[in-house]
Amino acid sequence: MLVEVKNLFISFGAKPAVDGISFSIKAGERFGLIGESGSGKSLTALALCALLPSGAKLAGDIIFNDKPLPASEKQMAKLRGNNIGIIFQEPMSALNPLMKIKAQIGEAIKLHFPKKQTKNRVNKLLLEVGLELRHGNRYPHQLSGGQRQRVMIAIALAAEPKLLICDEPTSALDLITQKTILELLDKLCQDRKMALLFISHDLKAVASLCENVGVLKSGKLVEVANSKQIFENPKNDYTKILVNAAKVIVPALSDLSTHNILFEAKNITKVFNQNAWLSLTKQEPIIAVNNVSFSIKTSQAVALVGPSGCGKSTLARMVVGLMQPSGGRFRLLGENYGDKPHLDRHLQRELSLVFQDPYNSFNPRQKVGVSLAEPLRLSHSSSKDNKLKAVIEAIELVGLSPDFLNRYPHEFSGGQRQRLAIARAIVSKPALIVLDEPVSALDVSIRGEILDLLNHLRFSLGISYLLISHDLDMVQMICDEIIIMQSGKIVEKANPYDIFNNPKHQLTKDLLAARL
Amino acid sequence: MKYSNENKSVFKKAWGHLNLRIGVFGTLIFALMAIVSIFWTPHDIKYLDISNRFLGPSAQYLLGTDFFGRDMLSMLMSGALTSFIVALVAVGIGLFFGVPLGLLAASYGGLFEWLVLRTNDFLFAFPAIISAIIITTIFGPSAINTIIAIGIFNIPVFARVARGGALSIISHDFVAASRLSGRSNFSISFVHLLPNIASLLIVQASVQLSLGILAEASLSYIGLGTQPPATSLGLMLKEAQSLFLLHPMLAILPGLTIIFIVIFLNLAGDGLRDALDPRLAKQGSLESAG
Repeated sequence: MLVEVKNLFISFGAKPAVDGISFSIKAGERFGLIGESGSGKSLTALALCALLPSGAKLAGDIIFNDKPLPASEKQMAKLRGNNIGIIFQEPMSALNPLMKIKAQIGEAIKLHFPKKQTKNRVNKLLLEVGLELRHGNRYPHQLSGGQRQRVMIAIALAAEPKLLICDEPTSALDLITQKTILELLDKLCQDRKMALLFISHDLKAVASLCENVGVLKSGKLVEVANSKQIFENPKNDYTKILVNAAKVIVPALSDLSTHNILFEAKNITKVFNQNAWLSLTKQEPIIAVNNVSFSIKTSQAVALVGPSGCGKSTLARMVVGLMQPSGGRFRLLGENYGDKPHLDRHLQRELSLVFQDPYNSFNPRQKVGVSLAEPLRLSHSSSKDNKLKAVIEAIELVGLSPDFLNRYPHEFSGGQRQRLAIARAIVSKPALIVLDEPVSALDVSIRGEILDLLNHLRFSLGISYLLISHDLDMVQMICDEIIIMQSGKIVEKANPYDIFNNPKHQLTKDLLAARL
Repeated sequence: MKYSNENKSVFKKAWGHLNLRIGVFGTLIFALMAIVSIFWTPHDIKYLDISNRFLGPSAQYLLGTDFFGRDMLSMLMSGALTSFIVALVAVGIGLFFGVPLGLLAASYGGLFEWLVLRTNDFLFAFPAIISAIIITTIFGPSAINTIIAIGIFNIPVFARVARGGALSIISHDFVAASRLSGRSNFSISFVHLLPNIASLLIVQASVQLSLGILAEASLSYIGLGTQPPATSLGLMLKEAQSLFLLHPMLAILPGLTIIFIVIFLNLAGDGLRDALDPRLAKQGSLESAG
């Protein structure tokens, strides 16, 4: 056994954050730890390298290479340096912004090998993690997120560790990059016969990489098994929820051929002029959205998919009227808009937006009931009683109790807040709701519920959706049509079946290949 | 981004803060003394009793008398009242004009924001005390002109703090959601932005209050503030100046009073800042130049 963790307890104050977990990793084995935020998975990793924050109380045994972890910080540092490599979530904050890449890798090498070998080893590592030699002369800000994570991996590998700990190494990366990093880790572990402890909230990422998986829930290890077994035959209820959330259930496409066209976007363009008022230097304007046209039928769900920065969020903000397009027109319910900075009230009432981050979308100083009633300002004729009735109806539709209206946002969990955000979006009975990554900020086990809710509301209320996402699997579960965008342009538009079985554009193919 | 929503527990925590307790308690004592002087002082300070001048502390005159035979304790009480009123009204002026300007600058942006910011810069470019001297020499020295002069210099301070705080709130999704609900920028400023920056403004107000007391003291000291027969702590210092070597207590007592009030106010402000939000507090301290 390379690592044995026996009955590990970590606590801050009275409540244990990690509550008696035991597992072991053989030399060369890959072990995945899955859990939601706050489940104690990162603390477990920190305990393994004795890097717990001060104030944390630790009990139980951690045995590395048949010896318990040394108590003295000096010996521990030696052990850490020689045997354990660590990779964190956000590579930018782990790299020194003022040092060239090769110097940063070299620094780690100098601690372990003679100085003469440094240059050779840096070059070897750069190539091993899939970078080119010229990247060594760059600074961190000149690299992309995926390249920075590769640099972090190179630094972690510098001492040729026996164990590599990765704490959510890909969650700050887009899907295509995530896939390449996972492939790299896979190859490195094989070549170097290195053990891996991979920590993530993403079951699919873990299962694709690890032989064995441990599922953590509120500090307890609820299931440890082979990753195949976890997927095919989960025993614990919580594991079942996770596995089901990871499965894609594709509903049959609804027949919308008789439905009217509700919304149209014609030749929409958005140019951002970067020049500030009275600025002296001229900068090139950025074309965020370039001549985009599409349409949505009544109670149809259309998805806009593309990598970050492709202009999908800008387009969404223009559709709901938060931003004015530089060119082109929208048409909703037979009326044009987009030529004035503000929408007419009766049109605004037909449009609403659900935001990505439920923690950010409610005023913390306002009771939830007040926030939910805000969109009703747009309807002329409502009395106070009618407004209250509408708010209660909306909150019941999203499956929450009207008692919640008197509470403040911080009293709710992320999933509940997203339900409340959906309630606010439907309270004015709009015709079109724009959903901006509605589940990506939520824990995996809750995503399924929210998607079910969205599906249900769409058919029972006859609302159309425009869904913004980068996740094709999720989109497939609720949408009738998928639009793929790249650098401000639509590159492919088809129904999910065609997108998945017969992708035409290269980006679509890449996105499909990046799924785990 | 999460910031402290739990109002009640925050105020409970704040009360556990030693600095805050000392600061609030001390400030309240001086404020109470000042308020009592409206209705009652141990002796009438308008009554000059030359025969009893320069007396030391005694049962009749607890802190002695000054060169006109006025009771020092009574003088300090009504002097503190003047100082508090001047500083409070000046903070009020700053809040009343500065906060809406800052909020609207943040939510409207564009030319309006540019104008507010440049006017701010213009006002900041002059040391406040020099401009206050200019204002009081042009319009004549009096307590009211002192209030106006100090108040004007509170406006850009509060405008800047309000705009900075509002900008960090305005990017939150709930503001966009509210805009989609048909709220105007104007209404968003007061319904959504103001409650979320209130703690920032409270902290800044306590800082400006102590700066205002100091500013009033300096203006009165150079003879441009409160005019006799009214009194203020700065004026008492000025009048005691020529007698300092013979009767040091006449200068030491008002001086100590100023120092204590300012220290207590600063302690209260520091405590409030730590308690309300350590992260926002940093912004506040940068902007406190008055």
